[in-house]
Amino acid sequence: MINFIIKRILVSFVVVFLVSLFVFSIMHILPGDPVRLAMGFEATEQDVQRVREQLNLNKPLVEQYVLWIGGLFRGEFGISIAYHRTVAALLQERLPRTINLGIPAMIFAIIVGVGFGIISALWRGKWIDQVITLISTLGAGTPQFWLGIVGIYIFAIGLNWFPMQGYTAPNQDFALYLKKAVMPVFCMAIVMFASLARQTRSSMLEVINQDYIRTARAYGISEFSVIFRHALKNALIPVITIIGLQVRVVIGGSLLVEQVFNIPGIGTMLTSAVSNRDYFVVQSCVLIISLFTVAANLIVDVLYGVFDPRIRLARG
Amino acid sequence: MMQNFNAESFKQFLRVFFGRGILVQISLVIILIFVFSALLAPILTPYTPLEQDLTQMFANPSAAHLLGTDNIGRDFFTRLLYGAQISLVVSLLSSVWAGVVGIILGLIAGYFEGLASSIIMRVIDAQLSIPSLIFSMVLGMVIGQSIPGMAIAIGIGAIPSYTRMVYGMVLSLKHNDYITAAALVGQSETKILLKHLLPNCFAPLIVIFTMSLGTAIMVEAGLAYLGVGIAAPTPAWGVMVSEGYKYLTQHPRLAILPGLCVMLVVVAFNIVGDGLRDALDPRLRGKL
Repeated sequence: MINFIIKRILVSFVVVFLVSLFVFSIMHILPGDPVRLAMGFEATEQDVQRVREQLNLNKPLVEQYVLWIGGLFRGEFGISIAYHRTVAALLQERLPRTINLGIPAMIFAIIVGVGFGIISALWRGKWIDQVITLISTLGAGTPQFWLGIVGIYIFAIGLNWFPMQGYTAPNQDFALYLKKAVMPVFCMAIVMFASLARQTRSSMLEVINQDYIRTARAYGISEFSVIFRHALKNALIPVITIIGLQVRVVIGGSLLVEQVFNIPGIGTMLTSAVSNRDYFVVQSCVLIISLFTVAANLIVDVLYGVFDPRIRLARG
Repeated sequence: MMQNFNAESFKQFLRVFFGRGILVQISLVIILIFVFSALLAPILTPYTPLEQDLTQMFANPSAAHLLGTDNIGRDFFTRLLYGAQISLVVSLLSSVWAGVVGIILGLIAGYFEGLASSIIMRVIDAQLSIPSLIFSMVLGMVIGQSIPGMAIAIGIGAIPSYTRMVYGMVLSLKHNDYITAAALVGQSETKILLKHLLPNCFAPLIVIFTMSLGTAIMVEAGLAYLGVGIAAPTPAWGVMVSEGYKYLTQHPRLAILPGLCVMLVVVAFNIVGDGLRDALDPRLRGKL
């Protein structure tokens, strides 16, 4: 088990290293001088040169890379040319907002997605199964930004149940946070919900048809116990993988959802950084996002090993 | 199944594919309408997508303007049709290009163990740690926001699904006797890869290709909506949603209709992909 975890951690490091090379090289592939582009053509040559030195852009490539990574370890992410602030300060301000919506979205997607998947499998072919399958098929193909806009049109403009846009921190005014969070959380969750419902349904159906489930039933074990003690445990193993894979989808979706609901989180910051060519923000944001997904997948893989000794033994 | 392709297996394929219910048939119709609108856009409408008529701003649907006009009097139906054209071009270009690169990488990584394989698969892992929307957005920044540029950027985001599938297939097949036999009689590695291993991936490749058409349309719309993809005034559906959003209260159709088009087409490709998977090879269920 220890071997397996160490191996997985090493692989994660390699992955993060490759991502860091990717985002680092992007800045150097770009035609033109990123500092000049970001500061505009009215900036004087001295100013541009000063910022260039400040950002270590006058040093050789390898040294730049080492300095950048070293800075990351000390919590220095460079400065945002567009916002005139350090990226660290921006992250500190914006990351909690994205997390405060992203985590509830994932929890919602997991509970409802797995729950619907189980219901769907148990009542296979019945109307409830068909309704859930239809919802998850539509959910997987719905553009999240569009869903948000339709939601605003119906629930904010039409029914006036929720505010149209914006974000309030939960520790500031929890009731207002909830009111503003309902629609964005739902939109962020929809894609993950859809794939979890589908995966849970199909792996549940697969498990229910296995011999040991029939044996359990033949022994007269109650249906509740057969489903929740014997079937679900095995059916959930592939579902855990999907949860790991879907973390990146939720993060990607946050870009769209934050834009629709005008939430000043990481997503809107990254989007505007790309349009403003604020490269240092792009670099750090992409690296941090990939750290999140790599960590999520690492946790999922380790959990996988804990839940399923077969995998632990095969991979260890 | 696709290797010994014959009339009987084709009938079987059609039976399973269409036997999946009305949704598959509706989806096929949606895809057909989508493709025809894209191809025939110039014939289907007397207007051009950029032509403004400032006397007709926010006109309601009428005989002259089937779906009305937008904020600067451009015919909305025309813009939707040309939007289909952009979605079709971007999704086809990106999926074909992703398919070619992804298949080659998967064949190499699966057949030749060792350094090449580890490098390819780790790079794919690294790419998968970045959400594909963000990955394509950052690449688009480098490549440029033209239609071909976006197709390349979106296509690169789609490479991993092809590579991983082909890699898995090749790994599981290459120790079969017929591969060993082909190597023993002196067939070249290229020939073994292309003639003996690749055809086995045909069924899952069709499924992945269908699905990736839908995904590409979705990513393209997302990037256009964010303003970092194909930019206004080009009538991409995502651009239209983002422009229409400003007038949501008075003229909801401007934002809602283009998004509805994205949803219908993406869902249709997903349903057809599911149907193809079950009809081509039921064993793939749960894997793709």
